Amino acid sequence: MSRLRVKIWRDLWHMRWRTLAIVLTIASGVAIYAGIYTGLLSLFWTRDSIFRELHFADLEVSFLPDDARNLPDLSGIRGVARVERRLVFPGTVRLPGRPPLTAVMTFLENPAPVIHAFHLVSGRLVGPDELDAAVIDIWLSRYHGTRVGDDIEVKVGEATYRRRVVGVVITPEYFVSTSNPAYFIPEKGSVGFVFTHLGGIADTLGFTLVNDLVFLYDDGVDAAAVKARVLARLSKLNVQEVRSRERHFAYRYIQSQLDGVRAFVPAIVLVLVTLTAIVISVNVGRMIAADRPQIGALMALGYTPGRLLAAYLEATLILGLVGAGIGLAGSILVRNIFATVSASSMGMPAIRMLVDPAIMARALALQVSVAMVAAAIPVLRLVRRPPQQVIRPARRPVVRLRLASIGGLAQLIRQLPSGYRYAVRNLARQPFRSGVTLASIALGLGVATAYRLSVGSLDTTLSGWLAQDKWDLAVDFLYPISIERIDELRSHPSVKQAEPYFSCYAELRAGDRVEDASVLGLVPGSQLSMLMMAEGRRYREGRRFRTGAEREAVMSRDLSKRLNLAVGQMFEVHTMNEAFAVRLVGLSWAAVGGLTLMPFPVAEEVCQFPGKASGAYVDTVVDTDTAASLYDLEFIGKVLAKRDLLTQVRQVLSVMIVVLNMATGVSVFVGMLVILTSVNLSVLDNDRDFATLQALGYSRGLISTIVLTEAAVYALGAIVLSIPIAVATSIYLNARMSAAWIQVHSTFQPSAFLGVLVPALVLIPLGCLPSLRHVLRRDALTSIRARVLE
Amino acid sequence: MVWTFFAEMPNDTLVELSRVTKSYRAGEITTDVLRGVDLVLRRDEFVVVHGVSGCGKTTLLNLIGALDVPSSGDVVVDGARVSSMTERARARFRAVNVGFIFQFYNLLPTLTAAENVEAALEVLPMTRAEIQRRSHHYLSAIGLADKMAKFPSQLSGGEQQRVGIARALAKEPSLILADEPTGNLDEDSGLDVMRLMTELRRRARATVVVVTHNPDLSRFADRVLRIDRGQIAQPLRVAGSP
Repeated sequence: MSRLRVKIWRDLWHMRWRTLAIVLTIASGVAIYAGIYTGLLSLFWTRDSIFRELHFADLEVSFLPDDARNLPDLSGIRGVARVERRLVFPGTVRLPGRPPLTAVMTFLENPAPVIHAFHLVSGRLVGPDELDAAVIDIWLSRYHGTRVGDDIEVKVGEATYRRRVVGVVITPEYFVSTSNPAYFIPEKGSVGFVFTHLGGIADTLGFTLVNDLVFLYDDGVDAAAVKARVLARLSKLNVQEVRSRERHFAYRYIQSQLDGVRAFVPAIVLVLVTLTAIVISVNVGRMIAADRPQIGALMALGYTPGRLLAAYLEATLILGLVGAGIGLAGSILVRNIFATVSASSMGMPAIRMLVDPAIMARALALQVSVAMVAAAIPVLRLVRRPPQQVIRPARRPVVRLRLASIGGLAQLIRQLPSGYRYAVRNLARQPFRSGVTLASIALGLGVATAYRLSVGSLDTTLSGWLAQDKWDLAVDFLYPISIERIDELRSHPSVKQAEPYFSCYAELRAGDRVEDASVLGLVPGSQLSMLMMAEGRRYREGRRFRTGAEREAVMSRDLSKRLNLAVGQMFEVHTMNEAFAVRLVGLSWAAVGGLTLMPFPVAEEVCQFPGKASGAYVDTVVDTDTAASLYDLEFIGKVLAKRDLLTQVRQVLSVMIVVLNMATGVSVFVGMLVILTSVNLSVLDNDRDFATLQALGYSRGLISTIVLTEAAVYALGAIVLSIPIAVATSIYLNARMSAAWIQVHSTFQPSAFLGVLVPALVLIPLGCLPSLRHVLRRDALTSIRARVLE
Repeated sequence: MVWTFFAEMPNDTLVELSRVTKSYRAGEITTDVLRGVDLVLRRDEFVVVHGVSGCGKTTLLNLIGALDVPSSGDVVVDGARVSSMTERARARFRAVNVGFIFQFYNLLPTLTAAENVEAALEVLPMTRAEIQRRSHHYLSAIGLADKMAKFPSQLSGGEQQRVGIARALAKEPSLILADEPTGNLDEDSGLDVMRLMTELRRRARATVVVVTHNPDLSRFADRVLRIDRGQIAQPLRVAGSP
């Protein structure tokens, strides 16, 4: 091994803690980048592979119940591999000692369906002739304790179906589910799914009644074309809803969650990579600066600039690869934590972990490149100078600051005891060095604080969301009821006020774009729902709708993007073979994905249920007991309390919170490395000066005062500087979250600052103790001689 | 090819400076360090250069050793016009032809004495065996045979400077340049170092240029030069020199 290589590696070993800090910083950047991206990939892979294995339906068509014999011939539709017939009804499950649970009862022609197949968790599937058996979904079992062998009662309309539970299953159709599509929030365990044999109904009726078809396409077909062929074949049916795979809640919800994270993660990674790049640059730069006289000596001996650069780059590459290796190992842990928590919050029952060499290679290449650039720049700056300039130690630029002009600052400093005065003056007269140290510490603290601020902003936004809404309960009916029956709700003793709403499925068309959407009709001038009533922050663009001559609507931002619609433009609402022209007047951030809001009368018209309501917002006297007692009304399907909605929203956004918390952890770790290395470097840079002071008669106590004062100044200065860094970074992260998910309003809670900055106030002075101990233990003369010897 | 420019020189001339000037600029201020220096150094000559601080003697050394380039004029060393070379070519030239001895030794602290000498030889086309042989030979010649495995921090100032001398001599260069080689040594150590340099120089038949404040070192020289206000003052003769 060449002596130059030997020298560099021994130097690194000599500064091993600093070297370790650099390696760990590289490792952190790699771990976060590779871990989160492979976690994201694992989540997509889990969804896709499970959906593929269990044959998630490509298309579902719901229609008014009809005799199966009346259905058109479904064979031979080009592009369709398989079709299955079902009867699906909403109902309620009676649970002992608890309020009824919203349920969906699915009667299957084939109790072991191929489309939306079952993955058996426990027990067995329903046998071909078992008319009194049922399987239930895993959430019903997990959240409500229903087990194999239990009897279950499902009330559908006036009929009650009693079945014996023979199995618990996972079905991709209800991977995640919601009972309230207006809020696009999954509510794990809030809906019970029960599957039983269609033969049970057929026996009772004497014919097979169906209201739902699920289709599986052939591989590689044009989905839109096949859908058109299917709908053409079903044109004579009274179609209620058509749902392609992409519009299915389970598919769409997971997709939007992952898309949100995928859009937001680059911001996290960018901030962390920038932090690690700066930390690496500062540390490597200082190491090379310390090596300056030796580099000069090597140049004098005839080492060419290229050879010197190559040697340092080689060492940096190896360190980078070691750090990347550690980071890749750590990325597995990051991936597992991120993917597991995200999967749980999304309601995915199982997660299949993936390893992607391409992502790992990118993470490695990025961080190693940063390290090599960080090494190359200071080396190049040195070797391009004449050797005799490099041989001589760099003069520390000392600046005499004109403090006299800053109030009585100079006078104040002169009055300080000598130790404090020396420290403050020393820092002030080396502004570049002090500034670099201060800035690196401030950056580490600022980034860590920024993540906490963003978590706080998210939390405050969520708490504020719906806060202006006066309703306590959102009540969905089992079926549309006449407006007059709302009075039955109003006459309930705990109900102060009730406002009807109408929700239905519709197909929206704008130009050549077609999208499935949920329509929600609200009472104009509503006293309870502020969803549409507030201007300003609730709106990205436009205004609330009004009733008038023209049909108006407000929609969610994502829907307008998919339809390529701008505020002011017209679009069509298609329901049950009728089309209605509507003008888009506003985009609301409060409207969840895929939602179109319009005045109640317009919704009645387009949904073609005049004089009916599908639900109501209720303001109650006391909501807790009211919710349970409302189920006594036979048309009540599901009661959603506002506070439960907020809990679920928080759970939904826990994916973001997981990412933010992980990023906080990494940035705190890197920040600590920054503090420890920067502060100690700063002390060791002045090692000889302290030795000179000792030789002049300064006591160890006084030297300690100088060191700790410098550390305290760094601490206070970094804390002050970190605040604007934290605010700016948090605003950036919140903007990225807003683009990816919901509009996040930046808030700057003191607790977020204090949580990081108060420990820093203690850590920074403590962090300089190792170098202080070194300074005090070392013989002064040895330190002074070292100037000569080295 | 190490050097690209040749000059015709008399056989016994090793270094020739012709109307060499060197100025440094710091902001608005230009400092003329050397002003029109003409100098010829012969092969196998021992020259001591005196002068007050800031007179330009170190600058003169740097120009001769191809560590720097003049603002104007020519520097020719062993037939090579080093003042016209690129930095890369100058580095190669230094590697082959020039041995440096520094005031502050400039040893690499994480290399042993032997490794410090070997580091200077690794830039030459030499086998590993030859590198080690020379390293051992010259360290032994200066009396540090038992300290080859010591790090600089384990050596005294005088011993470190000896390592510096061995490093310079191991290349067997035609030119050895020493900038205040005894500046950080006590009187006795300094004289020991100068005697050693004189003896080894004779064996190696190299031209030695020593820059120093110390007038006592003049007795080791064949010729003593004095630099005054950027120019060579009337050279002093030393007994026994031409």
